[in-house]
Amino acid sequence: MTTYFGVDVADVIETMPSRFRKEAAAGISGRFGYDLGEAGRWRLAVRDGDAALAPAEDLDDCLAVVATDPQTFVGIQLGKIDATEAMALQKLTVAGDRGAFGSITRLFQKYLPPGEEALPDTELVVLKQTISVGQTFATGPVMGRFLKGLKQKKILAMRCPVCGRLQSPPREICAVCRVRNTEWVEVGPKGEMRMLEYVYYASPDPLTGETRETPYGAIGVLLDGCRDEEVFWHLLNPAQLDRVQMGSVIDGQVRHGSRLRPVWAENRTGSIDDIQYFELDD
Amino acid sequence: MARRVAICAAAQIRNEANIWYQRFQGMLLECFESLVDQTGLTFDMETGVRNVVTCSDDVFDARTISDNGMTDVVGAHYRGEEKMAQDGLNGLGYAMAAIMSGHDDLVLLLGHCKESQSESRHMCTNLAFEPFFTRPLGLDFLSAGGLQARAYMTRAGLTEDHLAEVVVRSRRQAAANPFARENAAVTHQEVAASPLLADPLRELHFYPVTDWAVGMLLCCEERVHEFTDKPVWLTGFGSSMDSYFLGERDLAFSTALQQAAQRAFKMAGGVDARDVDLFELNDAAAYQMPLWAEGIGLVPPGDGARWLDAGGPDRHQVNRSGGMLNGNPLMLGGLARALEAFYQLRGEADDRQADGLKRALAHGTTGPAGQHHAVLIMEN
Amino acid sequence: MARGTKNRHVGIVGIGETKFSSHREDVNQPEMIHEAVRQALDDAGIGIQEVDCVVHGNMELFEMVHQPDLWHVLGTGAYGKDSFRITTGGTTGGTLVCAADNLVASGMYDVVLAIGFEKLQEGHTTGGITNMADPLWARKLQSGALTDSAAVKLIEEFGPERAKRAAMTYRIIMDQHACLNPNSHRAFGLDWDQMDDLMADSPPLIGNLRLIHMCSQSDGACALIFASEERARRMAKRPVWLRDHITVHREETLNLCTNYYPNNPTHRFAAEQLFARNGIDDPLDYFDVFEMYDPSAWWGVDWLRDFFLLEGDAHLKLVEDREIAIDGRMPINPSGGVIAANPIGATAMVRVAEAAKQIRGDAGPHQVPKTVRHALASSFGGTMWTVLLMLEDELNGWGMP
Repeated sequence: MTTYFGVDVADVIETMPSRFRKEAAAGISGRFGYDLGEAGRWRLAVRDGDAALAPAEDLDDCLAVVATDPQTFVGIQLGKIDATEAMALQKLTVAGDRGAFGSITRLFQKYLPPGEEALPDTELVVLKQTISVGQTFATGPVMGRFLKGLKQKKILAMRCPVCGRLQSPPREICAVCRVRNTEWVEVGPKGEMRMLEYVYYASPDPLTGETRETPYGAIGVLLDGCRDEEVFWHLLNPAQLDRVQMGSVIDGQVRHGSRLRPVWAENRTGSIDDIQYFELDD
Repeated sequence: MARRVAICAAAQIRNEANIWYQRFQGMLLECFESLVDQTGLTFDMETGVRNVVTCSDDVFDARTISDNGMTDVVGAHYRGEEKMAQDGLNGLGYAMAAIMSGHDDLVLLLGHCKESQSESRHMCTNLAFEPFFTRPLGLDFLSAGGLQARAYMTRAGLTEDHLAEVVVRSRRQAAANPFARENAAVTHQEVAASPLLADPLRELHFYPVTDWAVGMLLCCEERVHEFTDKPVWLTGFGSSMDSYFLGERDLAFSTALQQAAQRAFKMAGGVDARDVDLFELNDAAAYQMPLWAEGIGLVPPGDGARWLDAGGPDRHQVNRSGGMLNGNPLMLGGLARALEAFYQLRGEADDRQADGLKRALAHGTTGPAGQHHAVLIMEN
Repeated sequence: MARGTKNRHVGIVGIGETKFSSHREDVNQPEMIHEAVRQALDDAGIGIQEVDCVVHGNMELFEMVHQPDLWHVLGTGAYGKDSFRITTGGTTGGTLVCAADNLVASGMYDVVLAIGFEKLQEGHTTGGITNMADPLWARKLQSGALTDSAAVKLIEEFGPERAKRAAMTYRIIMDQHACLNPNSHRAFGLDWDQMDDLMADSPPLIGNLRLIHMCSQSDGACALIFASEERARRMAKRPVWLRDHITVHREETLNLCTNYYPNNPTHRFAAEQLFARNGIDDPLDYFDVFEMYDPSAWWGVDWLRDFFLLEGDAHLKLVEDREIAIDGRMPINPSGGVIAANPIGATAMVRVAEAAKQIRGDAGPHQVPKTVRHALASSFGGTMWTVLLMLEDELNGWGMP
């Protein structure tokens, strides 16, 4: 086998089981494939804190398969190549459950080339912490009434007394006119889809730390009774992501988007989740 | 010389223990509407407000870019907005610069803070300490205050009786302030018996958890007449940053405050504390009033206890509002001080009104045990 | 100039920038800031004692340090000095420049040091950005700064082929510039013949927004020293004058970002106001370089039309004809821009720093190969907020009585 960055790729691969950190592997199991081009194909089986690595031609049974060339593989192990960069340049691809693959990359001790196993002179101190400060968010009378409306399966908006625009969720003030909103109007609950964000990469919710399953759709719905920009932002039934159509207005020509209706949660508490998502109204 | 700047109008909601019934937006909207009502200000790009200075804090709001949720209620839609992430008094200093520079004629300033929102404001202030050494020790602004209190009390001969007297007076003054946090009047015994939180600081020695919002309109000299006939001129501003680790500072005397005050006095025409008729000092804890009085040069260093014994606070007209000690949230303490000075200089301070006022000093602090100080000189 | 006249002129006399990267575990926050401050002081040829005031900013929830300027006094040099902390999210760096300009022009301070920084590796960037959303609503919907809206808009107007090619052309040109900038965080060495592959295969983030289009997440700091005209002339080989600036924010709720609604983007509004009050009719003609805050290649293309007050497909043509390249008619981001490096609290200030270097003529390998006399810099943040700043080589009578 050949060397990259002065390191024999075979050594990197063969030391994987010995570098595996059993103590960090609790709850992780599955098969993960490594397709390393001319350095061969390997299957890593993780179970009950143990890891076994073996050559394997067929990686179809793997939860996720990483494919890359040996140079990129070694470069990433040594910290000389940035993994995200490699992904952006398509020099490294992950097929299958990317999230699961991400979790196992952290289970290996850093590869140190033979002769460098001793710790470097300068050890950089890094402190890892999750910081959590509990909050009690007020809703105030405006958002409060809106959320109460959701409990009753109503979508409420407020109308500006000067320009007449509707906002849902409502705001205390119309930003454009700089006057307090005063009138409540019920809108929808059905409407047409005007914008779809087809999300492949989800952000962790900073309140809960949880990450939404992808792909999912964040949508702007023009609810019945609203017009122009007055869209309502929520989620789409993820199973219908590929069936919906975005509406548009181009040079005065209106093309209507898919007609949607909200799917209400059984147990409503006065929160954004009282609407599970919107789905096609067919 | 750049043109002068004045505060033309101010508005506030009441300081409260827990404004559970309003979001920040609702709190600020009241202030906003009041200012528009009082002054008839517009947001016209040529003649109106086109820049807003806000004061708030991401950690206390638990929101990245905490001003993002406020843009509409502060009138900043399609206008400028700059957020002060320090004690709000610095916002006034910055607004002065915005007007004196010629960039803006008018600046609207609006600040909010809800100490009640987070599980504990001490968890928030603990995050001001760096993660490797001081934070894991559990330091927060309360315990830092405790360390400073002990140092200062030893140097100046301050006793628990002095602390109790400051608290009792604070409550008495605040009772005459319709917007002050509503607290029970307390006796010396009650103060002395309140639970010990961070020795020597007892619960009643430290300002209580408070929610508040406030707004002001600042204007250039040429145009004040459009908005008020009682402008309050901002004639001097100075601030200063002390060193970070508590052990590197002289906790018993604030050189940073001295520097801030000196620079503010210089800008105001080379005056000093003797030329000031009324003082609003940002006392988050009872020991801080005499400590800050020394820092601005009102009291000789080390004489805080003697000054209190001689009835100094009343004689020098200090903290007629009740001070931060009665309850203003962190980040807005200095603005509350400036607000009181504003009303006093206009003769609008109700039963707290002092007489013969020409010049006042407002003070704000940021950080543990007063690491950063800002001083504003105001005149009618 | 503004409404009245500027009280006095302000010049940039010192510039400091750390190398932007995702691996600055070798320094803590004050140490990293200190690097930039040192550089700026050395560049200005002054010591910290000459600085009157320090303005500081970042987005603190990324690193979860409350009031970080307090800790950073160890590296900022603010000890014993006046100091302000102003934070406006992504626009922070630009706002700090506006603040420094106001502070010096006011006469309150003669020499102001502005510092923007971020250590994004110390937090979770996308989560941190999502945290800007309303906790009762949008926090459940937002995915950081990622959105497909810019792509949707361009594709609806110009068709998928042309729009996607334009975005990728823009991206490659930005990368070419990044390769010339030793401070870049990411410089891939992209080739024109990779264009089709990248368009097809770069992992999608949201809709048509792919990983390759999106900005970096970097650690880094930037420091700029501003001085009054009198001091600037004594200090600097060549002060770069801050002519004017405008800040335009908007409400937190996002509308549809398409062309077809009565929806004037803040970028266009800022440009209209700023140029009108400075007597500039043709910004494309007037400016020699533009350091634009481009969080994604799609926005980079889209906003050219707004910032230069163009119509139709004039902006696409600028990209397609490669006029935005470093040797083109209107070089955009010779530094590589935000896609090359993005230490958020500093990013907007870096645009100004880079524009200033262009005017001084000492940007090095990424110096625009022509005389630069008039430079434009922009900032982006929040919910489509804009700060727009103008820099000049000479004081030529603007703004004074």
